[in-house]
Amino acid sequence: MQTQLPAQIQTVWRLRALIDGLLWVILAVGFFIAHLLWSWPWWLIAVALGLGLLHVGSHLILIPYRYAFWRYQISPDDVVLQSGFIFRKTEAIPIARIQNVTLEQGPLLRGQHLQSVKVQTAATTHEIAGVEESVADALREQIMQLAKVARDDA
Amino acid sequence: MTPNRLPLLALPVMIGQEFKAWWYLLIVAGSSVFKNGFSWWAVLSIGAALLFIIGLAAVRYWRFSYLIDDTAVTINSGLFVKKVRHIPYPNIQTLSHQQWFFLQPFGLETLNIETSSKDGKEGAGTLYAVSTSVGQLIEAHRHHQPLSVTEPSETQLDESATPTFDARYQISARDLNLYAATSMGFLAILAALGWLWNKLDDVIPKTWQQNAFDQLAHLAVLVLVVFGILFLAVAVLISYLNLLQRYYHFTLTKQAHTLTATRGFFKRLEVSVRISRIQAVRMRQSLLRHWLHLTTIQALLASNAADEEKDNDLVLLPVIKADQALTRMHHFVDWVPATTPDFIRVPRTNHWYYVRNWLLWNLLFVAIISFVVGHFWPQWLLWTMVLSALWVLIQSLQGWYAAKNAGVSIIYAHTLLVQNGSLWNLTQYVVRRQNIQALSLNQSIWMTRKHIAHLELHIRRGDGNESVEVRYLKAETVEKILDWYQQR
Repeated sequence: MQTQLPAQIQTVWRLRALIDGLLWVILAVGFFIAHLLWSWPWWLIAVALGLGLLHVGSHLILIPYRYAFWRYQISPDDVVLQSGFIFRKTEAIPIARIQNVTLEQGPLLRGQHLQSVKVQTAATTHEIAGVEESVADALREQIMQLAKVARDDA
Repeated sequence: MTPNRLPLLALPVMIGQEFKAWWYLLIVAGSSVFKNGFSWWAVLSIGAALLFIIGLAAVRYWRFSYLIDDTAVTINSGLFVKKVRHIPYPNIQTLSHQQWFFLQPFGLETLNIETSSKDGKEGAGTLYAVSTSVGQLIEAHRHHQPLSVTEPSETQLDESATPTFDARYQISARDLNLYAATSMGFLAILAALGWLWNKLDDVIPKTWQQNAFDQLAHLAVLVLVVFGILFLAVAVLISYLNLLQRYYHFTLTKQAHTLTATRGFFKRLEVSVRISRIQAVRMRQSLLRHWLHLTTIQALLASNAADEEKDNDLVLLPVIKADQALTRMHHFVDWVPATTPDFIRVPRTNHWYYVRNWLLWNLLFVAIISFVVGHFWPQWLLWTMVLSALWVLIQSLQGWYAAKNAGVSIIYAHTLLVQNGSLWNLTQYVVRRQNIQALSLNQSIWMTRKHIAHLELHIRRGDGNESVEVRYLKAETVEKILDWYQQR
């Protein structure tokens, strides 16, 4: 019953980690220029690169574990999401509380033909990180249909 | 039907509103007089600022009209961009009546209509200084309207004209006194006074200041301490008197499905809300009130400005003995339990995690401060260290106290009671399952092995989300609540 995310989501996560790494590199380059121009201490560059390596490295290492743990489940009563690896989260959102379902697709997701599904309640937003485009449409339909039934029943 | 215009007396109220929004213009214009002495330019700029403010209010007054029909309140406004707002009666979350003392003889009041629209101001409407009959008319429409589909649990009742109350509470002079005296509001006023002092620095001519400082320099430390205490006393007094006038004759009544809170001396404020629209009931004790066994009860609502003081929350009972809080509230909101149930508490062995976390964060905080002080003012380092040690000790005790008081309890099968402690507050929430928007079980990989988990629930509050967390419960407790929430 519990569904795993498509395997392509790992590629998206890896790309995201690399983009994060790029930001650290840009910061390090900035420090390098500042070092040349105003002779800022050189260790700032080392710190930026070190932190960047740590950040990206830990992300990349954890991706398979995160992927293995991520699950979603949609039943007539609720949507249950399970995410994270080191810090784990199991969220339950009753279908009757759902106000809105939004599909989103950035360039990274589009590259892998995935879409993220955002489920909104009156107070919070919850996200299924990525599913195949065809599945996303079906999920939205399914959730909205269930939500309608849940409201009519209640 | 032709739309109604606001009475002329609305104009001063609207001008007052504009003053609230633009007062700093006057300060800017006025301060130049103090600084550079009298000049016609300064007078002109003050005049221009005044004219601008009054003009703005006048235009708004001139363009404003409203219509009350069988289905909705319609508000027309705007000079360049015409705006028509329809607020259907079933969408009204709260209706508040404000009556300044000078409006009372004319039977006028200001109405604030709030919906649960997420767009904040767009969803709300204010009718300035309209006849009290307008408010009564809206209330009547509101109560006879068939209930919306989102509230299926209620049956439609005829609520026509029953002036008897199902429950009534009026604050006693002693309680009001206690409430005002135990408020921490003076801290905010202290900050405001400090700010004003700073501003005075800019405004008062430098020569006066020099004189004043010369005089102060001759005074002993003792006198300065006395000044400090005087400053504090003024802040406490202002806060005290302000709360007294604000909560003067506070009354809470229940009539059929509606709660109405009334209060205020100079400005009479009446807020009414349907009980079914209350998202959660929150009982909060500040440290000071906890020592005195007092608690404040508020309702979390899905609309703004129910109460301008306590952010978005409607005060139901300003102050009450902690052990009577639930019993008293039960008379007003029937899903609040009448007695304190047994909590499932944080296991004693997990108390340590609270202390550890608070300790770690505060050590980090203190280390940064000590580092900065040691770098720039080494002579103060010792004192900083002593104070830091004391601070960390107090914080650890707070952590232990929070752990001891955290807990959760399922009552009546549909209602959850959650209790948690934060930095200076101890808070209890009573919330129905239908008002919990989402619920989550959080745990780190290490907690998984030890069968420990955090419980987090999300409640709609104002325009946003109030998340309530109880940390380091037994995993099975949290799973049990998750099952309860999923109705398994």
